[in-house]
Amino acid sequence: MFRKEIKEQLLMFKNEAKAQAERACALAASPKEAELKDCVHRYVCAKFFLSPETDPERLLYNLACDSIEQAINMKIPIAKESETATTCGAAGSAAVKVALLMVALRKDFHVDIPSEKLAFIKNTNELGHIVFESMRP
Amino acid sequence: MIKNVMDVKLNVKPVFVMFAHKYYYEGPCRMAGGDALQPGFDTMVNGAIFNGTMEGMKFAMPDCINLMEPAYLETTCDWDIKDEYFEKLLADREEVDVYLASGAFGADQVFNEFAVRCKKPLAIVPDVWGPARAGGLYNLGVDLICEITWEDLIKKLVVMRAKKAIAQANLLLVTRFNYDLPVAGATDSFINLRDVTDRLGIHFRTVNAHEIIDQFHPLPEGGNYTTPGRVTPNITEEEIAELGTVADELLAGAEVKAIEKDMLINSLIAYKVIQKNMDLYDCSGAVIPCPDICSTRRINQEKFTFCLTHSLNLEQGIASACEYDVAAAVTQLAEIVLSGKAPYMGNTLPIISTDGRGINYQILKMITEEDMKEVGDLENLYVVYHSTPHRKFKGINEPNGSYALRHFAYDQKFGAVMRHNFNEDKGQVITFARFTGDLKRVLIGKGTIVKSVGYDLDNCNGGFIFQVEDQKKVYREQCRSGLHLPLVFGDYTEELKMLAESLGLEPVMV
Repeated sequence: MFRKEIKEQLLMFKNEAKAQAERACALAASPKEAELKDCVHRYVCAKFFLSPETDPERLLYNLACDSIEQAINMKIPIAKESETATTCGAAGSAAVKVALLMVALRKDFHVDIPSEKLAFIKNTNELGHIVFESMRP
Repeated sequence: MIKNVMDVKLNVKPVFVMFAHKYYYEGPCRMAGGDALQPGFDTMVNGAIFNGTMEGMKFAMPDCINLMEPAYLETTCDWDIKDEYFEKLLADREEVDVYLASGAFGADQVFNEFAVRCKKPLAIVPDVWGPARAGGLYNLGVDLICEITWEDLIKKLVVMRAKKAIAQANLLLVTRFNYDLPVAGATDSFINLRDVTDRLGIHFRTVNAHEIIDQFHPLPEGGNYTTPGRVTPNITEEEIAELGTVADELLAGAEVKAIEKDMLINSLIAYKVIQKNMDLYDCSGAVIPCPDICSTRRINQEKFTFCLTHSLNLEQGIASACEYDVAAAVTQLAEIVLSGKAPYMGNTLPIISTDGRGINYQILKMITEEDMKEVGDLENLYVVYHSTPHRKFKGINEPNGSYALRHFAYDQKFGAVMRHNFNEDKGQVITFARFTGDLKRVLIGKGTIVKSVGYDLDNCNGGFIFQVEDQKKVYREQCRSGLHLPLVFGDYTEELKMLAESLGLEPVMV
């Protein structure tokens, strides 16, 4: 893959994640769970450079592993991100990636979900549900 | 209830002792920047580690491991340490066989105290940070398992499960004269069964041979001759009728049917009575003397042998040894639980082919001249033969293998024996072993099947020729171990070696 193509693909993923977050925020006034789950799933897939066809029941940790594989395949420079996100507990890249995703989701979806709740979310289905719960008036 | 060692599971308790920073700050213990410094970030990392590790554990663990509900604890940079932490981590300690622990940098104080308090083997979740987690625990005397890969760790757990299963086993001993050793037969077995109980955990349940044989008929009014007035687990009329159906099925599936149905039923009655006694005494295996009982002439009177009992027991993962060879039965328990396959025991002897004169007559008559030509050029040969082959060499849960049914007694044609054509298994690697009678060593070796022997012979002659790496080395060590070397298909030498070491015995590798 040429550098230009990689850039275009990255931009596409970035725009898709942004679009899904905006779509979810637009639903905030009267959120519907199925639609929000779809937004969250597509958002996570875009953030992880994965196809939206990915199984929404697949463990987030495994999605993060897939994402790292994908980034390596696409020759995406991921070193910088992991350099600033390592913890002194020597956590692996996948666990850190999941945590970074949660931080980004809170910001992009304008939701305030406690870390303790987000920590044990297993998949995008559960994540969509908890986002729905927090948006519900 | 018959206690099958295959049903024993190792209870493994996952424990996570994690760490989270409570505040935003930088300094020499913070290797992060940006969002990763914010409160709550470590908690989310910890959660992802928990989810990912549990997923990995479930994937990696074999069926013989019971993965218990995990315990999770997050400590903080307040360096808080409370009794309730240990109450949580040690809640179901009595059921735990091994803790499988993941600890984070920063949580060391709590992690280490938990490791000392648990007083159980503690395995560290495999990763390259083992030295950081484990080094200090060794100094604290923790019974530690620290492996670099899941594969290595699981091998250790499988061996621990074997040790647990053996320690919980009871063996039924059918005796005529002595408790420890027979008068004739496996006089190379354990010289002190009390020592076996003390060191391996196995308990023994003794039943007199005459009382057992009295149970081969429905209980008469007033009880058996040897136990008048007592209720004993005699065979019933209904069970005899059921055994008729079993006999029909066995005969239908046999490639060769060289035994009459009524003689087959006689041997099946012996099997059923032994099973009923194992059930009564919660046993995982049976040990029966051949010569000691044979000389009572009651076997001749009842027209049966125990050979088929051993074959059918072994097929179910139940140890079953002839010649009152308790050491062979204990070896079988180890092989069953480590391999999931049914073992085979027999006289195991070298074939001396250098000058053509060393082969003893009994072996020679089992090997045709034509077959000898096939193996004549090979060196380092051994032969194993007896009358307890079965249908489960490839695995207790695998489909039945092929077999023949023959008889033991040449003249009267009683005593059902199974045969297997080991020519179907040429090239198959086998592992043989034996706990020594002084309970100091375990002989462990492997070989490769070369040729079936005795398939068409009656009596105690079914087995195969196999090739070892160094015949003389095997022989010298075998002379310090014993005649019967129970074997299983496959290479389990490493697992047996680890088991021997964990039992405090010297593994003798040949």
